[in-house]
Amino acid sequence: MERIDLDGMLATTTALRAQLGEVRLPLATDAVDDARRTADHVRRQLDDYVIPRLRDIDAPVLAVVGGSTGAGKSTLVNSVVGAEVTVPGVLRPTTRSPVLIHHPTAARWFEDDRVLGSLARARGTPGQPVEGAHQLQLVASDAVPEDLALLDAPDIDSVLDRNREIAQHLLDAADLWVFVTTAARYADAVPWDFLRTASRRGVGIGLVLNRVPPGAGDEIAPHLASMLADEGLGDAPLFVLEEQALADGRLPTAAVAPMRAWLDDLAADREARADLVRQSLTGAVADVSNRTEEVASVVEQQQAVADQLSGAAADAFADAHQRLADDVRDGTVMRGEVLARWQDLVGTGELLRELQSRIGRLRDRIAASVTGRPRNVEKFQGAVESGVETLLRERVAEATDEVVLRWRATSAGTALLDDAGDELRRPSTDLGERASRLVRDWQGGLLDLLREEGAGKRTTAKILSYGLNGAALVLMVGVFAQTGGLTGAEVAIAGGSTAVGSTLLEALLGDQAVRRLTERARADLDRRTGELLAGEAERFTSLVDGHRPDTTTAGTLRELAGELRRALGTDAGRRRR
Amino acid sequence: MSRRDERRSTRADRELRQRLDHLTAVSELAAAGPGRLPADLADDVAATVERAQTRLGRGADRTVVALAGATGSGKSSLFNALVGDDISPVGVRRPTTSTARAAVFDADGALGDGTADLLEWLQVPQRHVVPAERAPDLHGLVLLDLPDHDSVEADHRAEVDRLVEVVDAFVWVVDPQKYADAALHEQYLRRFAGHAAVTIVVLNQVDLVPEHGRQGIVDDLARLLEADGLHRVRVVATSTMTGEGVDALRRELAARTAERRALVARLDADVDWLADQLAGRVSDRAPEPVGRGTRRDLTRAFADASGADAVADAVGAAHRRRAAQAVGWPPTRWLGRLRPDPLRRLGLDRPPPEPGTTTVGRTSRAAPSTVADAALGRALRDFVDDTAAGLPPAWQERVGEVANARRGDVADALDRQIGSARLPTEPAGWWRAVSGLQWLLAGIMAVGLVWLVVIGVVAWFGLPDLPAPEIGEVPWPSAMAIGGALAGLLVSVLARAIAGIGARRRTAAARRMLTDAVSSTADDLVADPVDAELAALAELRSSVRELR
Repeated sequence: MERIDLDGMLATTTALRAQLGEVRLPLATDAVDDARRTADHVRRQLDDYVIPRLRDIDAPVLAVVGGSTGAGKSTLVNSVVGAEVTVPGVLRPTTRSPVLIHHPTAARWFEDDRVLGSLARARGTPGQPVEGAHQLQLVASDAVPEDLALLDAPDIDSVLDRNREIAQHLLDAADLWVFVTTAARYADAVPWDFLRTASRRGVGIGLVLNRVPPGAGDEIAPHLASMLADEGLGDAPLFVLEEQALADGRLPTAAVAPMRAWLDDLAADREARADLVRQSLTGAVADVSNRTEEVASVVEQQQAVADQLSGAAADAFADAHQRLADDVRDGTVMRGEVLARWQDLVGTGELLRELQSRIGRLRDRIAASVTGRPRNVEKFQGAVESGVETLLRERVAEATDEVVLRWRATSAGTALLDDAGDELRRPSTDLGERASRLVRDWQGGLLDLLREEGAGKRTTAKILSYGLNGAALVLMVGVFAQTGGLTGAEVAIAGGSTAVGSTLLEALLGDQAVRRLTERARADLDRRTGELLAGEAERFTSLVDGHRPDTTTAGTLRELAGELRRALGTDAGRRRR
Repeated sequence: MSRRDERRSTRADRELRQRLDHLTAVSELAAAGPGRLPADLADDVAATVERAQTRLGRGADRTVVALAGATGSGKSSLFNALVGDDISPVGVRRPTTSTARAAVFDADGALGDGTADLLEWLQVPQRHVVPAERAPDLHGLVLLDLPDHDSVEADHRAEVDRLVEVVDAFVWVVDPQKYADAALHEQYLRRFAGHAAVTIVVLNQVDLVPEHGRQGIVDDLARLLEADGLHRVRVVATSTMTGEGVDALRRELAARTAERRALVARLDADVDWLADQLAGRVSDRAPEPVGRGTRRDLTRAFADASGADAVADAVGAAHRRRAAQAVGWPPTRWLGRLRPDPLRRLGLDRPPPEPGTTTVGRTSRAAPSTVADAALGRALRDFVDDTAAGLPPAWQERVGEVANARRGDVADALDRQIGSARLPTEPAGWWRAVSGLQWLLAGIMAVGLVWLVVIGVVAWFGLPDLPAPEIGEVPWPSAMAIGGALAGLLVSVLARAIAGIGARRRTAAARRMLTDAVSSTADDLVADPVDAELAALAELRSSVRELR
């Protein structure tokens, strides 16, 4: 085993721990629960084992006795220690709080919270269970060697979630696993999952096959051994204990002697112990490095999902904007109501009067105020306003539906939508109002455009000042109907009368200027609708931005994981996987 | 079976069949409208209905009981002890049993067609018939020995998962080592918490625990079962080594088999479970049919979008124009022809089709504009919001789908409705009389004018004056020319005013007519399908509530 730069690795793991503390996985992507658990797991493994072990490489070996509920772990521990240190029972699950048995001189290693820092400590007297479960109960006993501590862990497959969690937690902190199973259980699926994890992590493993019916050992032991070999654990020592009467709550000394001898040898052999610790540590570091990569890839995946979600929103609204621009350009806005109003306006000669004479305009206005009917000009403007507003609202509604549909297809998007409530699923409530204001503002803006254009030419400016309104109307129609899109008859009617108007305009301002004006007016409308749509899209994208993981995290995690792997010298982690 | 038991059992049976009918209704409604229920739940419902019907049709007089449990708990030993024969192999290597095995207890000692059918359906090929003399009390029982659910062999678990869905009663076999395993409690007992009535839990291998500790374990097991939600479950402690408790289990099984209630109880529990799942998917409030106000709003929005108003206005304008031509002052009538006929411009001036003909040409009105289309979209959105308010989101979505199902046809259908409307375009009856009057007045004027001209010409040539009779001071020809012209103009002014009233009336009539036509389209394409959907959802909801 090559030497490891402990200090360097300590620095890296500490940095990694700090970085992992920063990891947020805010989006509910498919694998997020697993990833959060993995991140927690790595954090705990660093806190409870890797960092303390790197600090004190010479601390006693911690052997965790773990296994299924009812496998007789506590009885086994008592028997091996030769004293009543932990309490077995017939009720399942039994060992509720873990018990750590150490030599009195080794107390300093375990009393502070360097090892298993996340568990509270309680000093217990042998044989007296600690009230208030889920603390780490420390028991000092001469019967264990100085350089080895035994930990009686809760069940790995118990019905109590908390028990299982602690067991997992303790096994993560072990240099050595003593795995206890029974003749009835040795083929259970849950323990084998644990063994596979242990094998991947490179922790030292010893197996105890307990409660073997007399005479059945010859059949079961080889079967278990072959199962172990299949999993690549063929080298692990296997101790077979027959079901036998307990003397004083303990197994006979002779029965546990081979196991006791194995532990004693390990405690006595400094070299072997150091090897065990290093191997376990290397395995743990490699495991940490691999899992960190997993977390990093989930962080990256979350970033990708966040991009995808906000991309979906941006696309849908950009698409809506494009369609709106097309609608405006190809003249479909001019159809129907708007066209009818335009025909009224042209047919009654009101347009020409708007363009030319003050007296005519005055007459129309008086007529309107006498009859109480709005003038055709206003009707036309109203029709344009409501037409564009309707279009705008529908496009926004469609885009919103589209975004919701596409978000619904992903679990992260669904979670965001559910959290945001009903409002997000429809366009904002004041959309109608803003849309009609947009059109009115734009119509008002046309006058400014004309004024600007006319300002340079004195005569035209003068004429224009008479018919500014009418010119604005002609311009408006020009914006909507320049490239046609109307059917033949409609062009003749709408285009023909626009032609009259635009000829007039062209005469006043020049052909070039009219084309430029139309272009500018259209661009103005385009800009205004673009802003409105961007505001609607923003409701979605800002929500995603609030749930976007930090962009630098994944990179830093990968870097630190890579550093750890390099520090291990070989690609130990990869090979082991 | 006593007579009272029999009565109770038939009642339970009848109730179950009623509940299954409701569940079938739920299943059919869910199948007819995807989205009314989540697909997996709908599948569950359909599968349960199918399973229940099949099971009731195959050996309903048999009670299928499964021995299930962890590896090494002694299911096979218990099976052998109950059968009284070593049918199922017992071993120390784990896991031992890999496929299910059936023991059929029958007084005739034969399998019988019904039972064979049943086992065929259960897909249990390994069968053993236990003759009556060995277990007379267990007649009618089909006992299954299942593989374990917790070993490294994943296909054992799959087999267990399949069979626990179809058996009538469970005997969960646990042992002192494994009774608190998460695998059993979390994956099975909690899932079947509603099936307490058809569950027996057997604590096997009690011989491994010292006598004084046994009651403690049984109590502890009972506590865990309570925590799983299995209330008042029968717990039996057995040992196949000492034979303890096996008879108690046999008696329990015999009683349940004789009652023949397990099958119904099991299916009832399945229905209960589904009823719970379904309850969360239906609305608290019954969906109400589409309101009249909502229909009216939709019709109005459709009418706006389809330009029905423009057509109605055109009817009025056309009437005014035609009246002007018919009753106007003859010398200026031609002027009106210079303006286009508003109805002709819309392609609506031809006579409407006879009722009963189906082909209606498109009007030559402009194809529905993007704006009109957008307005239709908005009308539909508002409509869905109104009708589906207060329903669960999934149902709102479903209503939206139904409302938009024929979205593509709406514009065309509206156009066709407007094209086929019998618009009031026929000339008014009084036109002819007034027209005659106008011509008469014009004739008088013409005669006066000609007379005057003749007088003038005669005077020009210096011929003797023609006699011109006078009325008072005014000569006849002048009176005829001026009076005829004035009277003609006066009549035409009056006629125009009257025609204006008629035009307004016709506009209103056309608007009413078009609104009716639009409203029938709105009903056919949107409101009625949505109404039907809401009715289906209401029925689904009441069926689900009947399940309770």
